[in-house]
Amino acid sequence: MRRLICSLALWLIACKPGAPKAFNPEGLAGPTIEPPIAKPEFVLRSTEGKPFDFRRETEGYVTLLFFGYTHCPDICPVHLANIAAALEKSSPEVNNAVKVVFVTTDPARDTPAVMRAWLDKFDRRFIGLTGDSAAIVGALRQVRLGAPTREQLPNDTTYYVGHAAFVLAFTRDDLAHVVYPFGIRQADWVKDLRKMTEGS
Amino acid sequence: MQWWCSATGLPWTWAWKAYPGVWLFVGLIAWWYLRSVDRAVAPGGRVRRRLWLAAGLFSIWIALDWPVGALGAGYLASFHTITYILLSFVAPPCLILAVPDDQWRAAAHRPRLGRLLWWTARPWIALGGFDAIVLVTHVPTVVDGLMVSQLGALLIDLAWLAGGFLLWWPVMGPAPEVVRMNRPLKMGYLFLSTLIPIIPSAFLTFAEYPLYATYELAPRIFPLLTAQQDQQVAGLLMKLVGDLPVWFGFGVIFFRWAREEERRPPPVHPDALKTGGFAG
Repeated sequence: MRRLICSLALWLIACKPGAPKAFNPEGLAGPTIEPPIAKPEFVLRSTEGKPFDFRRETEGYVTLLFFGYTHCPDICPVHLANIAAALEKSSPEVNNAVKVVFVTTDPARDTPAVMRAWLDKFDRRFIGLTGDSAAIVGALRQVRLGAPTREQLPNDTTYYVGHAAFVLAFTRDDLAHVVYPFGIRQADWVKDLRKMTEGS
Repeated sequence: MQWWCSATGLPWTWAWKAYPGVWLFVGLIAWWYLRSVDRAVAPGGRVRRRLWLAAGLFSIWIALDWPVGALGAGYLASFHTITYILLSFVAPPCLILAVPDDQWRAAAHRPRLGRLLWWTARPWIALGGFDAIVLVTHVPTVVDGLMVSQLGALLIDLAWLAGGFLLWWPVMGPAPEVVRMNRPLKMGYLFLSTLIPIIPSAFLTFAEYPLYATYELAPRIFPLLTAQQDQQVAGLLMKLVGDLPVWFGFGVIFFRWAREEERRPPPVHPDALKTGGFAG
C-alpha cells in the first residue's frame, strides 16, 4: 500500500502541469552536447528598441539561438535562409512552437534598423538582438562560446567577424542538447524541428 | 591558382578570376583543328567551317570560364544547367559541323577511330550513352561529391561534352559510311533523346527540398533567389531551353526532307505512258 502511494505521488509530480519533460535528442541531425547547455539569462535590445529578456521571452518555446552578423558573406545568411525555408515547409503547430533569435556579434555595424531589414529578407518573425559588446560577450560566455574576433583581410576595406558557425537549439526543458553546425540542410531542419516541438 | 571552376565555398565576388585550365582546353581544341583539319578544308568552305569552330569554342569557353562556369560550379544550380546545355547541346553540333564530311569519312576509314565513330553512331548505343551521362551527372551524391574538386568538376564537364557528341553524332555524322538512319528515323531519334532528361528536370523542378548540398549551402548571390527557386529555374531551363537545340535540329531535318520531296519529280501515271505523254 505504501509503495502504491509513493508511486502515485511520483506520478503526480511527474505530471505536474507546465513541468518540462526531459528531452531525448537521439536521432537528431545535429551533434549532441554532453552535458547540455542551460538556456542563458541575458537582456539585450530588440530591433524594435525594447529590452528583450531572452529566457523569459522564449520560455515554453523551442528556441534557435544564433550569434552572427549581417555583413557575414557566407554562413549566417545560409543558416537563416535554410531555417526560414524549413519553417515555411513545417506545420503551423511547429511554427507556433519555435522562436528564432539572432544576436549580432558586430554591434557597431548592426544597428536595429540594419538588422531588421536584413532579417526580414528571411522571415519577419525572426528576432534580432543587439547591445553593447560586453553584454553580447556575456551572453556568448553563458553558452560556452568565446568572444567574436575582428578580421581584416589585406586589400579589403571592410572587416569580417569571426564567430561560432553553429545554431544552438534549446528545447522546452530550457536546455540545448544539440547544436547545428554549418552544413545542416533544410530537410534535416524540418525533421528535427518537428521532433523537438513534439518531443519536449 | 585555380585551373578549373569548382565549388570552393568561398563568398562570391564579381571580381574577375582566371581559370587557365579552361583557356588551355579551348586552345588545345583550336590548335588541333588548325593543325589537323583546317589545312585540308577547301578554300571555298573554310570561312563557314571556321565560323562553326568559333561558335563551338565560344560555347565551351562561356560554359566553363568566369562567370558562368564559376557560378555553375559552386553557387547556382541554374548556371550549372546553363553549362550543361552549352556543353551537351550547343558546342558538339558546332564542332561536328566545323569538320567537313570528307574528313569525317576519311576518319571513318581509319581502323580504330573508324570503329569508334561507327559504333557511337548506332542510335541505341548513342542514346543509351547520352541518357546514362545525363542521369548519372545529375545524381545528388555524384554532383556533391565531384563538384568540390577541380578534377571532379572537369570530369562532369567532359562527360557532358562527350554526351553531347554521342547525342548528335548519329544525326550529323557522314552518311552512309557512319550514319545509316534515314530522315524520319533521325527525327524519331531526336524526339526520344528529349524523354530521359525529363527525369532529372522533373526532380529539380518539383522536389520538396534542394537536392544538392553544393547549391543549398553555397553563399547566396542574389538574396531574393532561394536555393529552392534556383533549383526550380534549373529544372525549367533544363527542359525548356535544353530541348530547343534538339527541336531546332528536328526542324532542320524535317524541312530538308520536305524540300527534297518537293524537288522529286511526281510519279508518272500509267495512262500518260500509253498516250505518249500527251493528254486530251
